[in-house]
Amino acid sequence: MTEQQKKILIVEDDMHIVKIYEIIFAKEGYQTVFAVTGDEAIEKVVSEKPDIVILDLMLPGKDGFFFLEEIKKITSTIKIPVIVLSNLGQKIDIDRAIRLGADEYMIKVNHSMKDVLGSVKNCLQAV
Amino acid sequence: MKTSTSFIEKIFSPYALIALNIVIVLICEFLGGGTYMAETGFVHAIAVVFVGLIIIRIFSDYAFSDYILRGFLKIQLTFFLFLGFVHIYEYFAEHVFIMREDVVQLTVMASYFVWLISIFLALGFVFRIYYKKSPAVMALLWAIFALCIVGLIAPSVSDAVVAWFPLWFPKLILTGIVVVGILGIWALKKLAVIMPVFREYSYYAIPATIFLVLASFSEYYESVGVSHLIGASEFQGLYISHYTIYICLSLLLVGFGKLKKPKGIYEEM
Repeated sequence: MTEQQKKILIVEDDMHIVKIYEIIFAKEGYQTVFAVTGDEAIEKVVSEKPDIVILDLMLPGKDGFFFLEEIKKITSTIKIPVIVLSNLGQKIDIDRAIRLGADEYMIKVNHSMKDVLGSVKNCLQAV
Repeated sequence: MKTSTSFIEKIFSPYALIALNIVIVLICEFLGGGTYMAETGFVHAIAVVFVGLIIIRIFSDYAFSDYILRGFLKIQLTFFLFLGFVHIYEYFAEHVFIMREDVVQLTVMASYFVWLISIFLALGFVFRIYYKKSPAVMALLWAIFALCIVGLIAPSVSDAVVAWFPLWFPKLILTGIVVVGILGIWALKKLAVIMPVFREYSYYAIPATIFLVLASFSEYYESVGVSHLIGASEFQGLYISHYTIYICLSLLLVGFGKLKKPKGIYEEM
């Protein structure tokens, strides 16, 4: 499988952002799957086996922290890199996400889509 | 379409709103020897301009559809419209329905208090999800809010209700506005730290809250006739209370604009 065909699970409840992700990642040749809640994300990460996850933290129902905790308990998903892209900006939240296994933490208002794309590429290269 | 959108956005620039406020001040101070706007009640009716601008803000396209940000926005914009309508109410109450002046001023002050409570309702929506608090806190806030609304409407409906209020009641509302205003500023600062998407909004919402508190003071002192004590004309108290509230509304209009197009990934929407 080439890098261009890799699969990204996007966990995001903001449909505007989801649409942008869909366009940008499709243009780069990535396959994308989406989940809106933490519970749905757990199901998708197991069933879809993505190469990388982009995760929002504040979600309806179970949140992104719950997702991080859960995927580190499942053998088949433990090594999947996770980039957090959230509106939460407190150090306490950043530290918690990193401690729970996030590979990178990005704040939505501080980063562009280009930054997100760059991080996805870097993470996939590092795997 | 894009041209008309950018034209509308120019109306919401800080410069355009500063110009609007200067025009309001100049018209009030100089038209008809500085008494026309007060005597006709048009100083209240100016609020209709702001109501129009608020409605445009309500129907603006916001860059996000995140359920938390949307929830915050819906609550805030609904009550923002309410805040805009307060002075239209004042115009009709004083110049069309000829209601008691003290009742009208009390209602206006209570309306400011309701706006401040609404900040907590909107913030409570975000904080409840963030801190995973039980819905009981929100239920309590809504209960206080419902009580305020009843207190707001009742005096306008019956004079008997007004007679029941003790003389210190306006002072109690003023104290409540100061306390809730301070707490509101603290909560807005906290929100900007928790969620940086609200940072720029808070830069405008915090001074707007300060101006709202100042407007409440000038409304209160206008009702007790302090302008006579400082040797100013009776109209000046009325004008100052309106200038402050129009500045408050202007700041909020710019603030909501910052949520319309936040930075970062939202710039690409």
